[in-house]
Amino acid sequence: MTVFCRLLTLALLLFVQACTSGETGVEGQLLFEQEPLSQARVEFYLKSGNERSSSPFSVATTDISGAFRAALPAGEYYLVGKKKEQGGGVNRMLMAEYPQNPVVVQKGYTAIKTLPLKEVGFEGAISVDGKTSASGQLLFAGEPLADAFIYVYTRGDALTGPAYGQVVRADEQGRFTLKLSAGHYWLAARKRNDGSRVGNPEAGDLNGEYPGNPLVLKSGEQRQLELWTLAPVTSAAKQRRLAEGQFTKTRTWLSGRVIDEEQTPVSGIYLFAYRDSRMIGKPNFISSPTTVDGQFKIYLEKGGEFFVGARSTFGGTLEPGEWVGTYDERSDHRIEARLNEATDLGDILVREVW
Amino acid sequence: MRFLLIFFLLLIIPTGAAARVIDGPERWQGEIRITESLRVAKEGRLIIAPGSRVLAEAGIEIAGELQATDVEFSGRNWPGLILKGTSSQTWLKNCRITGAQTGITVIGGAPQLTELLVADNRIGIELRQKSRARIENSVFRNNSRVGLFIKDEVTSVVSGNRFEQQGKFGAYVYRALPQQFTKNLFIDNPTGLMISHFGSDLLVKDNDFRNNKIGIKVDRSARPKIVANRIEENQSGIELYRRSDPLIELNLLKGNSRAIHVSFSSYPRIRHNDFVSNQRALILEFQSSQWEEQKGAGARQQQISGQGAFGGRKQNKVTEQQRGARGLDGTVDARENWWGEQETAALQGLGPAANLAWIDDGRDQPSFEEDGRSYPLDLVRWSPFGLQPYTPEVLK
Repeated sequence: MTVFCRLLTLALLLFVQACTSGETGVEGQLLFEQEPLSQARVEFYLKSGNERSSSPFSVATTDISGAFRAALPAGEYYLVGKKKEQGGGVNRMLMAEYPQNPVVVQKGYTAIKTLPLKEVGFEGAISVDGKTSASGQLLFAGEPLADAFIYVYTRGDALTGPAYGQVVRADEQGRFTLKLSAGHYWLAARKRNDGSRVGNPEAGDLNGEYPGNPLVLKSGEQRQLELWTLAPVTSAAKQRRLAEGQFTKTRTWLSGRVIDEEQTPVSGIYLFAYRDSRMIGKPNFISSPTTVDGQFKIYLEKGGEFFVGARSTFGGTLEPGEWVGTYDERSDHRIEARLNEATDLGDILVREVW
Repeated sequence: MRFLLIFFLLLIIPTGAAARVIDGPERWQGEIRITESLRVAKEGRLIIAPGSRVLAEAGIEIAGELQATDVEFSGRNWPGLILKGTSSQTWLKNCRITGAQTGITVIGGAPQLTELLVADNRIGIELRQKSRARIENSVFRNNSRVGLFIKDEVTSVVSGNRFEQQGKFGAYVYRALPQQFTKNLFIDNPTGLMISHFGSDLLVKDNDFRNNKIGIKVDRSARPKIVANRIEENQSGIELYRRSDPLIELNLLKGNSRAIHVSFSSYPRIRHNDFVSNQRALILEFQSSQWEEQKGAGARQQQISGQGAFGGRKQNKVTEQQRGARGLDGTVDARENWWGEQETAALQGLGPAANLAWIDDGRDQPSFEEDGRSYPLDLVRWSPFGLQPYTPEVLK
C-alpha cells in the first residue's frame, strides 16, 4: 500500500474515532399554527439579545415532522427558530425565540418543549397593520440616492447590526415606504459599494441615521418623512469606530509576533482573545492586523484567563487560502493576563488552509 | 470636453502618489509610483494610458471606474488592485499584474478583465461576493497559491484563459457557480481545477487539462457537470473525493496515469466518455456503499462542517439531506463509455461481472479494513459499454 493510501486510512480512522465519542446536543420540534413545521432553521447562539453574534454558532434544519437534532458541545445555548416562506403568493417570516433560553447541554441530548413559531409582522417584533406607514426619500450630494437599504429598529441604543426588525430598499429615485403600525422606531440607511445589505460599512460606503429619530407613529398615520441625506463613511470615522469597543487601547495587552512554517513574519493577521475556552463565536477582544514584521497587540479590558487564536479574516467558516493558528504554549491555548501589564506571547505559528 | 484630464508625466523621477481619494476624472501616463494606499471613490474615474507602468507598494482600491489598456502593475508583495462593486465600465485589457498578495480582488460588480498576464502573485485574481466579472483570454502563470480563486456564489464568465505552473491550483471554485467555464487550458499545475463544497455545481465544458498532477479535483459534496473536456497526460485526470457526485460526460481521457479516481463515498455518473491509452481508466479506493450507509453522515458531521477556525465545533450550513448519497447499491455507474479500441475488442463476449484490467474496484480488492471492521469495496458497473467512440477527436 502506498504512503498515500496509508494517509487516507489514517484520516478515515480519525474521522470515525472523532464521531464515535460521546455526543451531546439538543433535540426538539418546531410548530406553526399547531402543525409540524418542516425545513425550518433552528439557530443556536452563545449569547442572548443584543450581545448575540450576527451568525449563529450552529444551525439545524427540521425534518418533515418538524423535528430537529443538533450535535453541540456541552454549554448554554440561545435557541431561535426561523422559516422564510416565499413564492405562491406567500412572502413571510416565521420566527420565535425559545422561551426557556438558555438551553443547557450537559450530557447526551437535551430535549426541549415544542417551539411554536409566529409570523413576524403580525405577532413578531414589528407588526404591520395595513394602514400605518412612513415614506421618504434618500439623497446624496443633493441628488436622489437609488438602491440604498433602510433599516427599521425598535430600539435606539445601537442602530447597527442585524437587530433591525424591517429592511426595505429605496427605488431608483431614492424613495421608500415603510409599512408599520403605531409605535416608536429608529431608522438608519446604508448603501454599500459592493451592493450588500449587511456587513460593516467600509470607507466610501454611504451611511446615516434619520435626523428625526425616533419616529413616532400613530395608528393609521401615513407620515411623509423629511428628505434624508446620507454621507460617506470616511477612513477616519472607520478608525474611530475600530478604536471603540473591542479595539479600545488599554494598559493591559497581549503582544507577540505571527510567523509561518518557514519562520517568516506574516502580516495582515488578526489575533482573537476569547473568554470562552471553545474559542468560537464573537471574540471578546481583537487586535489590529499584524504589521509587516508580524507584530501584534491585543488590548484587553482587564486581566484574567484568555484563549488566543489567529486568523487572516473575521468570522465565518474557515475558507481555503486562509491563515489560521493558535497560541500553543499550552495545549488549550490559554494565557493568563494581568491587569495593567503587557504579556508577551512570543511567536504564534499560522498555517494556510486549503 | 467635460472631464478635466490630469497628466502625470513621471517617466524618470519616481514620485509618491500620496494617500488620497480620487473623486473625479483623472488620467495617468508614464511611470507612477504608489507609496500609500489610493482609493478611487464611487464618483471617481481613473484612466491609465497605454504603455504606463504602475509601481505599487500599497493597495489601489477602485469603487468608481478604472480603465487600463497595456499597463503594467508591479511591486514586491503589494496588496494588489481591489475592485469593489465596479460596473462593466471598469476594465483592464492587455495588462500585466505581478508581485502582489492578490493581483486583483474583485468584490461584487461586473468588471471586464481580458487578455491579462497575471504572474508571480500569491493569488492571481480572487472573485468574491456574487461578482459577475468576465475573465477572458488571460494567462495565469506561476502564482504561488492559486491562479484564479472563485468564491461566494460568484457567477462570472471564465473563458479562454491559460493556467500554467501555479504553486497549488490553476483555478479554485469554492461555493460558487460561474455561469460559463469554458475553453480554458490548464497545464503543468499541481491541481488544474479544484471544485470544492456543496453548491459548486458549475458546468465545466470544453476545457483542456494537460500534464497536471491532478487535472480536476472535486471535493466535499460538490456536484459539477464535467462535459466535453480533453483530459490528457495527467498523473490523475479526475479525482473525486468526499461525497462528490459529478456528471462526467463526453470527455476524452487520454494518456493519464489514472483517468478517474473515485474515493470516500463519491457517486458520479460517468457516461459517454472515451478512455484512450490510460494506465488505469477507473480506480475505486475507500469507496463503499456499506460504509456510507453506516458511517458517512457521522463522519461528515465531524469533518465537513464540524470544525470552527480554532478547533471548536461550528455551524452546519449544509444538511445531510442535501449532501447524503442516494440509491446506494454498491456500484459506481460507468455505463456506456468507450474504453479504447483494444479494450472494446477484449470486451466482446465478456459478461457484466468480468474483472477488467483497466478498472480497479471490488473485483480486485474485495474489501478494506477500518477500525477492525471490513467494508466491501464498491464495484464499477461498466456494462453496457460503447462500441464506438463518443468524442469528435477520437471519431476522426
